[in-house]
Amino acid sequence: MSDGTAGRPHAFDSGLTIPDFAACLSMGVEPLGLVQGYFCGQISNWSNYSYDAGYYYPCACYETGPHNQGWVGQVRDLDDAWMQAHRTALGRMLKEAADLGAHGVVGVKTDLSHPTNENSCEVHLYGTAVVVSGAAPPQQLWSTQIAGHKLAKLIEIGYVPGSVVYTRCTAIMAEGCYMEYYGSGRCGTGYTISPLQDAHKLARSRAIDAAVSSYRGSSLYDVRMEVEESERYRNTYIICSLFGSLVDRARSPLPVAQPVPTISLSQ
Amino acid sequence: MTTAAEPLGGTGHQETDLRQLGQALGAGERAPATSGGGTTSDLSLDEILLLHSVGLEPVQVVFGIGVISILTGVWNWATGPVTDAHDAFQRAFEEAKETIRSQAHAAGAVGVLGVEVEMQVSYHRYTVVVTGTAVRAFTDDTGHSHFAATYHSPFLCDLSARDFVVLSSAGWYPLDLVAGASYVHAPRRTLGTAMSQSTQNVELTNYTETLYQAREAAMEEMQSHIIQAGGTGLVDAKVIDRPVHFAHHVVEFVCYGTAIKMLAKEHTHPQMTLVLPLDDQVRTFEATSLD
Amino acid sequence: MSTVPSDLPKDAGARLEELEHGLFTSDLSVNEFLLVKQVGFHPLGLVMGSSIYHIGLQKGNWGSSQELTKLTAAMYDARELAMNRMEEEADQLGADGVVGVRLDVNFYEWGHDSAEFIAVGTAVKAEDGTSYRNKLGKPFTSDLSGQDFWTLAQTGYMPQALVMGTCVYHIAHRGIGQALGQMGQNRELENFTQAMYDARELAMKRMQDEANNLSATGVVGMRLEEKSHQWGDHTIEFLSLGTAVARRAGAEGVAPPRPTAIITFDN
Repeated sequence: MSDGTAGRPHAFDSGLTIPDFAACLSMGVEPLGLVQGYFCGQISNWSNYSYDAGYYYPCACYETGPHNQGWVGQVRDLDDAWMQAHRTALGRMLKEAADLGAHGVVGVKTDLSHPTNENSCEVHLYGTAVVVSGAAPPQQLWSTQIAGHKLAKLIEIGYVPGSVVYTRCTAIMAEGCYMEYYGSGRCGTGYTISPLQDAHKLARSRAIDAAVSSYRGSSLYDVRMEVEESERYRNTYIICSLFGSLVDRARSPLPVAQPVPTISLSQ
Repeated sequence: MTTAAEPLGGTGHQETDLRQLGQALGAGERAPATSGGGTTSDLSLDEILLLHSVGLEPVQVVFGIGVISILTGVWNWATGPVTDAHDAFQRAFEEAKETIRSQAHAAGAVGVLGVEVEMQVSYHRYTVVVTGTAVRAFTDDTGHSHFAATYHSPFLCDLSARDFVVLSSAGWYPLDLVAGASYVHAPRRTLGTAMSQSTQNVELTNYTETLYQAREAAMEEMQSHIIQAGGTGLVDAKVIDRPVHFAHHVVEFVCYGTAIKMLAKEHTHPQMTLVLPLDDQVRTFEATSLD
Repeated sequence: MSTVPSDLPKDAGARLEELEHGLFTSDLSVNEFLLVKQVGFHPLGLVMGSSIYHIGLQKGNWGSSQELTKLTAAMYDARELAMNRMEEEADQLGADGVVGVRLDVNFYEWGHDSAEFIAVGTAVKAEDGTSYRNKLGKPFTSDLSGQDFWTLAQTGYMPQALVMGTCVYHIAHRGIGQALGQMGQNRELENFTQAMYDARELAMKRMQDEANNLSATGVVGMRLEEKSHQWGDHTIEFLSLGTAVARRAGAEGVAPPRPTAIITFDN
């Protein structure tokens, strides 16, 4: 990736707002330049999906012999592709920052989209590379979506930034006789429709677990989960996309002062 | 139950020097892993700061889901309440609450905040999803915990962390999510009465009674759940009042919220500062062409 | 206080009884709840009144602008029914007043030419036992939010009742002869102007008459709403709503506290 910031040793550009800029300077955190990471790719047609081990549901009809009982599992292909795309883009942004001599990136924003069709993915990350004056460069650059006074507050309560996070999990609930009976209302009112319930749980819990385990940092906050349910070829897909921030604990938590309550008189 | 907590940090609390914070960032210290490993939460940084001011910290994003079946044919035009929809709702809600509470319990939490409740009724099923952040009381270096209340099982609260902090500072604490629901068919008018009413202004009493009954029944149900949870009140009730999206002749009425109880000795009024923001922008003249 | 007024459904009786025994419900936000407490009031419960009203057909003359008195009467009576039922529930609870009243009109597909009028609010009662009921001995009603209620109380005024005036007006279509004669000239659309003037005047005057009946000192938070509901563009309902207020006895010389002027530094 070309490094568009070469040859600019003194002037810097940054996406920081004025208050954030002022706070960073007071902390001794100096902006070096705007950095970005980008990835755009095509995902192979997902009819050759690879399933993760699923679980089956008991037979709910009188048919004997092999028939479709229904099961729940995870379809990894699209998930792995998207998460890899994000990791690549993040890596590229951190490399640009490292080339500038930075210690980390603040104010990171993430954009994901489908530029051409459903099978394409585009990830764009950008933020401001910063260096902590008088400190040694860290083993691995850190990144965070906050900057300025908010960053100061994060450190005050005992955390240091780790990494921005994106994960995705697609749970599939395959149609079978269990759903045909319990999902159609023929069983009556009040029965738990376990396959659908389990598929929902699977999508969310795997997205959260993947976030905690695959990036740097141990505590995940500011989690935003978007869940979509769709049907295709009589199977139901539940896709959970998760955005968040990982941080590390630097010391044990200390209480902070209570904020001042105010009531404003203008509408 | 201990008395209400004093403001943390005291009134003389000094804000840490920004320079020192920058150095802490550069030092790259990592604390030894605390019990239970890492934490997850869907709170923003502002909310985490507020929680710290009352001695709580986020532990884990927790969720609960209930998907319950509804018998075929209940949505066809009929009269009276659609009890199947109501029963499916209550079961789905209970199932979702049980799951989220057990996840919170497993994480060692004192309660769940910022619970978002999503309800979706469809032809053959009712789906309820609840998502929130489990929080626990932290102990500082001296082993002292600043959070004032004790709970036997994790509380569920749909108020944001910010509202929770403000409310608990006044002495009120959340207990559980409660809901009441009513599904009722709109009554039919016979052709004769329809014609004779066309030019008059008149109240349609049987319609009024039907919908009124349905709403009161739902609110009554929510109230009895508040009492069951041991609460004395509810604030910020959310109300959904609309025709069912796939069956317009059925009206859906759902009200839900968080049951609360005064745990401090008495209500503490916040010391409010009245402010007048002078942030109005300059009014500039805008010229647009008239095409 | 345990006998249910004959106009309310039987379920309301059981629900209101529970509220009388100390349980409270409200749709006030947490901020509003604390501010209402600071004024010295405690919420009692959600109170509601509704009425499904059939609005008789009335068509205006194509060529003349006039009030459609039948429709005006319908809109007024229907809202009065809903508000009265809400006041009855509040009365049943022994409330001093109702805050945060919302007046809504719902049109349902199955209710041809009819609409549902709903009034919902939170009944409140003074904690020190003083009565704040209005001159007619009924609980006060107001559509003020918790914040506005607090601000009003600081001035020494208290709400008396939500007052309204309504007028359904039919605006004349311009005659063809007139239209042809006016092409090419700059002219005021007198029909329209005069009609809108008259309609608004009628609505506001009726609202003021209601306030006078309560011996109120004035009306605050007045707003004028114009809706066509389902009648097409030449028939408009003008609804004027406001809260009638009066000075509290013994509150002469109360000065509202001076606010601190601030500038906020967020974007």
